[in-house]
Amino acid sequence: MSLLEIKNLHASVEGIEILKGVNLTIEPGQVHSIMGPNGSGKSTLSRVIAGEETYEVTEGSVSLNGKDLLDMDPEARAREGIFLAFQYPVEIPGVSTKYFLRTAVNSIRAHRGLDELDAYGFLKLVKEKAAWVELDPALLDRPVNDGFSGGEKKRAEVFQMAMLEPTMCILDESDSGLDIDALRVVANGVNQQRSPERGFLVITHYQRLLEYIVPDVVHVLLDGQIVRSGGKELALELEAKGYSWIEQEVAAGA
Amino acid sequence: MCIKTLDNSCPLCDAIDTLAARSMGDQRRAACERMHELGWPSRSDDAFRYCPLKEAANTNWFPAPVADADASLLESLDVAGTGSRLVFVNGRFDKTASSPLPEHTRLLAPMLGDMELDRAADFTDDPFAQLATALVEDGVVIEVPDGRSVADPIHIVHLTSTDADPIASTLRIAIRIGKDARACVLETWAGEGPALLTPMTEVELAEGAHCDHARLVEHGEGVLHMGAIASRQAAASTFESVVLTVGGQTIRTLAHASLDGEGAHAALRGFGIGDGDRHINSRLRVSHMAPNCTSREIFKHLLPDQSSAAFTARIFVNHGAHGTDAVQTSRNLLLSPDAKSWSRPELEIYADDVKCTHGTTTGEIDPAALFYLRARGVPEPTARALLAWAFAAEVVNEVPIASLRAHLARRILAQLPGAESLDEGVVSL
Repeated sequence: MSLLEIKNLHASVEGIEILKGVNLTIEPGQVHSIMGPNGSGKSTLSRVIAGEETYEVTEGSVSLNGKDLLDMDPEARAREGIFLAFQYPVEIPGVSTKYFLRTAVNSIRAHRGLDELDAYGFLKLVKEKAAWVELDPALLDRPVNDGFSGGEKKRAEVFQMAMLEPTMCILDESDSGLDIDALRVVANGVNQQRSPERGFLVITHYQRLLEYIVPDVVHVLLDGQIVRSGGKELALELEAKGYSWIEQEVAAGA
Repeated sequence: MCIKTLDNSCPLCDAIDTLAARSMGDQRRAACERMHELGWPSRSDDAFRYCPLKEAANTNWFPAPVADADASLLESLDVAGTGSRLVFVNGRFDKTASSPLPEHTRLLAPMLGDMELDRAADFTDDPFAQLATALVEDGVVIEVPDGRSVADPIHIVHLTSTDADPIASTLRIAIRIGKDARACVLETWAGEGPALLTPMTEVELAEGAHCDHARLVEHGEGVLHMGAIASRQAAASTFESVVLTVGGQTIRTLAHASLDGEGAHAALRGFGIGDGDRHINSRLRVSHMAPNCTSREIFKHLLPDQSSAAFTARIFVNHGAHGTDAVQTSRNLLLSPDAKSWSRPELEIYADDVKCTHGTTTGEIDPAALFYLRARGVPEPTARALLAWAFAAEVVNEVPIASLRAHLARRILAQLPGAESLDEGVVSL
C-alpha cells in the first residue's frame, strides 16, 4: 500500500480554484520534492493535506496508508502521522513551547497506544532531538516561536517533527530565509529522520536544499497541476533554465 | 438603593441617618444628599452607558447585618502567602478571623471620629462613591513611615454575608506610603449576593515611594461591585495596581491616578474573565500634572457566554507636563458570538513634547494559531483553551505575589471553557 495517495485533488479558497487535479503517490521511505513558481499552489497543497479549513476541497481524494484524510480534523490527521513544517510558523505568546509540545506528543502517543511520557522522559527526548538540529533547549522555555529568529523557527519546526515521529513529513519551504550553514543544519535534521517507513514531501523554490535532502522524485507544479515528474536531475534542469520552458511545453501540448 | 427620592422610609437612608447621628454627621449627610441628587444611574448617563444597572435600580437595598466570616470561604482565599490578613464581613472588622495587625497598619474607625476620608479621592459625580462615604463603618489605614519597607503583603479580605435580603456595604482602605518607603497591599472581595458593594481605596505616595496593589474580585452571584481607586503620587514614586475580576455580576472600577510630582510612574492593569452575563466595567483617568511622568494602562478581558466588558479611559496631560509618556491598551478576546466589548480611549492634552499612545483590539481566537496547534495533534477544545489561557497569562504573570498568581490561575482555569483538558503545568510560564 502506498503511504500517501493523492488523486485528482481540486481545492479552492474563496471560490478561486488553486489546485486543479493533483495526482501524487508517495511510497514509504521515499523523498519527493515539489518545485514550482510562486502562486502555482505548492503551499496550498501542503495545507490541504494538513487540513486547514480555509481551503475547500471540491473534488478528489487524499489518503494515508489507505485511510481517507479529507474527512478528518487536522488533529486527527496529525495523530495518523501527517506533519507539516510551516513556511511561516506562527508565534504564540503566552503558550509555553514545552507545555504545548508535551500535550502534542502525548496526544499522538495515546493514539498509538503508548503511555504518556512523564516529565523526565519528555525532557530526555527533548534533549536528544534538539541536538539533531543544534537547537538550544533554552529556547523551549520561551513561548511558541515567540521572538525566535527566522532560522530558529525553521530549526524548531524540524525539531518538533523529530519529537512527534510522523510517518508523512511535509516541509513547506523549510529553506526560505536560511543561510547556507543553517540550511545544512536543517537538512541534516531531516536526514536523521529518514527511514524505510517514513515519507517526505519537500516543497521548495530552489534546487539548493535538494543537494542536502536528496529526493527520489521531483515534481513540477504549475497552475495547480503536476505537469512534469522526474529524477533529481530535473531539479538541476529547473535551476539552470527556470520554469518558462516547461510552461511553454505545457502550452504547446495543450 | 433609594437614590431617586428622599423618602425617609428607605432602609438604607434610615441606616445612613442613624450613622450620621453617631459620627461624621455632616460628611455623611452631604454625601447622602449628593447621592440623591445624582440619582441611580441610567444608560443615558455617559459614565454608565454600558453598565447594566436597570434591574438593580428597583432593588430595595438594606444595610448589611452584622455577621461572622464563613470559615470555609475564608480558607479558600488564602492567597497572600506569608503576609498578614485582615478580615471584614459586611463592612465591619472581624477580629477573630483576622491575624494581628501588621506593623504600620491600624484600623480606620470612622465611628470613633477618625474621619480622614476622601483625601485622595474626588469622585463627586459618582453616586456609588457618595454611598461609600455615607455608609462607611470600618476601614484600614496602612501608613508606612519614610524609608521603611514592608516585606510581606498586607492582605485585606472583605466578605459579604446575607440570608436573602439585598444588602449594601462598603469598606475604606487608605494607603499612605512615606518617602522612599515601600508596601504591597492585596484586597480580596468575595461572598454571595444579592449585594451592592462600594469599595473605596485611597493611595497617597510620597517622594520615591513604591506601592504594589492588587484587587481581586471573586464574588459569587448577584453582587454589584461598584468600586473606586484613587491615587496621588509625589515625585519619582511608583504605583503598580491591578484589578483582577473572576467573580461577581457587575464589576465597575472607577480609577483616578494623579501624577502630581515629576518622574512619577503609575501602572493600572486589569484582567477579567466573564461568566454568564457578567459585566466588567473600567473607567479610568490618569492625570499627568507634572513633567516626565509615565503611565501604563493595560486591560484585558476574556469573554465567554453573554459576558461583556467596557473600557473607558482618559489620559489628561496638564499644561507644562512635558516629557509625558503614556500608553493605554485594551484587549478583548471574545469566546462566544454573544459576548460584547466596548473601548473608548480619550486624550486631553495641554502640553507639547508628550508621547501618548492607545490601542484597542477585540477579536476571536486567532485561526492561524489554532490551526498550528491542531496540526501538531492538539485537539481543538484543548487548543482553544490553551490560546485563551495564553491571553490571560500575560497579565497573570505580572501579578506581584506568587501565591496570588497560582490562586488566580486556578480561578481562571475553573471558568475557562475547555480548560478541563489542561493540566497545572500550563501555569508554569
